[in-house]
Amino acid sequence: MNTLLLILAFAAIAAYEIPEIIRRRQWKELVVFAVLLIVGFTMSLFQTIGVKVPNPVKGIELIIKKAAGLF
Amino acid sequence: METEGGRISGSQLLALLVLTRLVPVTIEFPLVTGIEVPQDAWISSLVGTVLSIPPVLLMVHLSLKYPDKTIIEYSQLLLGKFFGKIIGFVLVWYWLSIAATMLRSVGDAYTTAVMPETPILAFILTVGFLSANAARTGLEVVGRLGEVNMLVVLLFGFLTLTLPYKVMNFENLLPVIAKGIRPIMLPTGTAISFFVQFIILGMVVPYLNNPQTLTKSSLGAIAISGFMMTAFTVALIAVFGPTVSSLMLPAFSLGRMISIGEFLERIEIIPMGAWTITVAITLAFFLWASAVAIAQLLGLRRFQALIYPLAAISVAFSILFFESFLDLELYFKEVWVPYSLTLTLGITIILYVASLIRGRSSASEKVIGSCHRNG
Amino acid sequence: MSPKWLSKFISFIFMTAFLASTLTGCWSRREIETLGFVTALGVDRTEEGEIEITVHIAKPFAVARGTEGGVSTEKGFWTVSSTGSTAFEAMRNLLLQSPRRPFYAHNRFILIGEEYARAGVKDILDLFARNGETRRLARVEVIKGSTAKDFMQQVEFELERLPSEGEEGISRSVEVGLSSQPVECTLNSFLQWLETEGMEPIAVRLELIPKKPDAPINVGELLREQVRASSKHGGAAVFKGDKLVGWLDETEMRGVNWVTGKVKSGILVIDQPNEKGKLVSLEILRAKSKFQPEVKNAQVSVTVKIEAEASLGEIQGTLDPMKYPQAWTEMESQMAEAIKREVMAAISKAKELNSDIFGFGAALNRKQPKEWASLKDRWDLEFQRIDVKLEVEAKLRRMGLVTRSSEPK
Repeated sequence: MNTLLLILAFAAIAAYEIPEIIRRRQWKELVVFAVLLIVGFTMSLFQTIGVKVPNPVKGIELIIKKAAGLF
Repeated sequence: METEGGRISGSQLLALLVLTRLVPVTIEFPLVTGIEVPQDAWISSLVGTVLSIPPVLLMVHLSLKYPDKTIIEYSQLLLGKFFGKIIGFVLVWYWLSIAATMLRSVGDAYTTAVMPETPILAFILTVGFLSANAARTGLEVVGRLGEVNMLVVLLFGFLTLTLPYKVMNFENLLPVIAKGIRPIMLPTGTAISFFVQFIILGMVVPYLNNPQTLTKSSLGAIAISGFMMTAFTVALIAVFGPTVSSLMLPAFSLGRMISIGEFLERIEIIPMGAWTITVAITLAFFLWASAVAIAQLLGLRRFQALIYPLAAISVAFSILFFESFLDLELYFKEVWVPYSLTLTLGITIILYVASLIRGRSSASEKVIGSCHRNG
Repeated sequence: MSPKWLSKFISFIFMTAFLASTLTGCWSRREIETLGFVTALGVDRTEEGEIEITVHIAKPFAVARGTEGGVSTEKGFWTVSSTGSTAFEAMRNLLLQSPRRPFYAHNRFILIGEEYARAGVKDILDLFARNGETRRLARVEVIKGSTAKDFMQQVEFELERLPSEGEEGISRSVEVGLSSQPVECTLNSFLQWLETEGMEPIAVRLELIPKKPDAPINVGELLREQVRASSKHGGAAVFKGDKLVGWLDETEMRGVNWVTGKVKSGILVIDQPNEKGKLVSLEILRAKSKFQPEVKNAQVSVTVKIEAEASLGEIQGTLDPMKYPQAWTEMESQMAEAIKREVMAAISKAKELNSDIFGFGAALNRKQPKEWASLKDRWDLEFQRIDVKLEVEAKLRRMGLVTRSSEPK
């Protein structure tokens, strides 16, 4: 159910933006748009179905703690 | 080839910067919650305001050297394509992470205080969607929204911090700095770490009606938001005394202390509403900046198409980054300050040093560069 | 789509969103008919060690009928208790008995039974500070000599249909300060006192006064002549940390209020200067006070300065101040003495209970934080031998509408 809603939401974004991009023949924009959208979709999908994704904040935290340890 | 066609005025920039800074002020958990000597928090906020003037002035000065370029463009000019782009992407990451944090704050604040039964995504999606819509229409609309709403937010903020006057006890502010300077340092760092978000003005300079108003706008924004932040801290300490460091949503709790006669009470939704407006507009501002930055980094002609995907990514980040409200709180306490300070100050200093070196080696190149861009 | 039109549209959306967020009453979809408004909440511990929560829930239909001119024979509220191993659980367990969901946002009173208070109240207050429905402005009141449950089952006021309204009326006149004998204490101030160094909390003291114990409870109010029991609000409950350690009576509490500068009005009774055995009442008009703690030669002393003005309110016996002007000064010095007596009574009681309810330590911390840091670990001992210097300046300003009292021929 949630996955379905997710797909619908991202499909709506795509349906809203893509015709405009194609009409303007901005192919580079289309590629970037698609990549970002797929990234967003994958991340959301992983969270919806419960796949563990590494958390970048934990990474930053680790770097900061390591850096603090140096001093 | 201009990605953003809109223009905003100096006062609109001021409003946007004030709102950006007010996001943590209005609910303000990082400044007073969990700190060691709560009665000195107002000193931290005041000192933090003053100490953030030099780095912000440095950012302003840097941007004014290239008034027709965004920070994304001039960092490539200064450091070369490769390193310039790295800085650009780091900034985009920084802005998106701020956007995610703000979204999560809204969600956690609403689910904690107002509607615990509602899933957090309902609030995150609502605010995210509204902000994305605003950002998609461009800087001009965001600026105008900011200008109008800043007055509303300031008025509501002012009401929230003055109306609980009955329960205020200013003796709570004493003794001043009884336990030495050390416990004040962390909250001061927190205060500065939010001011350095002003690095976003590097995205706005070319779209200012009159770039020369930049200095005035930035200093004005520091003054207004610094005053608000300090006044809020003073009011909080006066009302809650030492218990203030236990409050999860201090400003919200402050609103709950308003009780005038029998009729004017339970109006804590006022600070909540003001804060939501603030977050929504600031979020739109950051989404816009990220989209324009990516467009410029990759040489796209339109940033609008990127807004919705970026908003979706921030929503996903907001869920991924933090597992609980405590996580968010600890992030502000332990990660955010060094992260934000090193990132923004590092980028500003690197770019500034590079601009000094370049400025010495060839003064003419800059002119050529800017002609090229306009052509 | 012109930008102007679009920006209008966007602002419209924002304003709509804002308005929607302010109308949370509609959002959270809790219909008012499904809620039971809790007007007072009491806390006790049962013999088995569980926490017992007692609430007064207003009966809207009973109260409403009364105001429409018709006479309701029904009681305006329902008293119900439930137990649980924690307070939150006990509160949720109320749902098993209450057809309407108890709603705590309008609760103004947290009543704590004496026994519970003696064991420490911190654990129960956490819930009320943490929960989003309860208010930090709710008053914290301790029931002397009874459990909160007994108190709430019996208490009624002659002039109000809901006991909470009665207590609210009394609390409001306390705020005005006509007697200056009780203490004002909200959850917010209690928690602050609890956390402030060098200061102990005090809370409102309530007592059940039996009126006509055999009067039936369950019939409508108009069918009987007198309520079963009413309540008296005065003095204070003294805490040490979060544990109740004793009580202040009305005089002692006003002594505390003299020191902390919270006396607004009240009646001081002194001897009639002209006639033995007769008394004079003075009405306090205004009072100012401040205290300065000081550490000298390892001795803590506090100088309390009180300035008070009063007017002559009542004279027993015969006295004509116009004929005997020295009576005026005598009454002034007697007034100063009376104030001193009240303050000293409060201080010796506080020392006896070993609880710094005045906040002398906190004041020392504000003034000399370094001295305080060295003293705070043995503040209990220091407070016992604290030296209080009282400077009272009493002025009699007015004498009312007549000069002399009437003299029978």
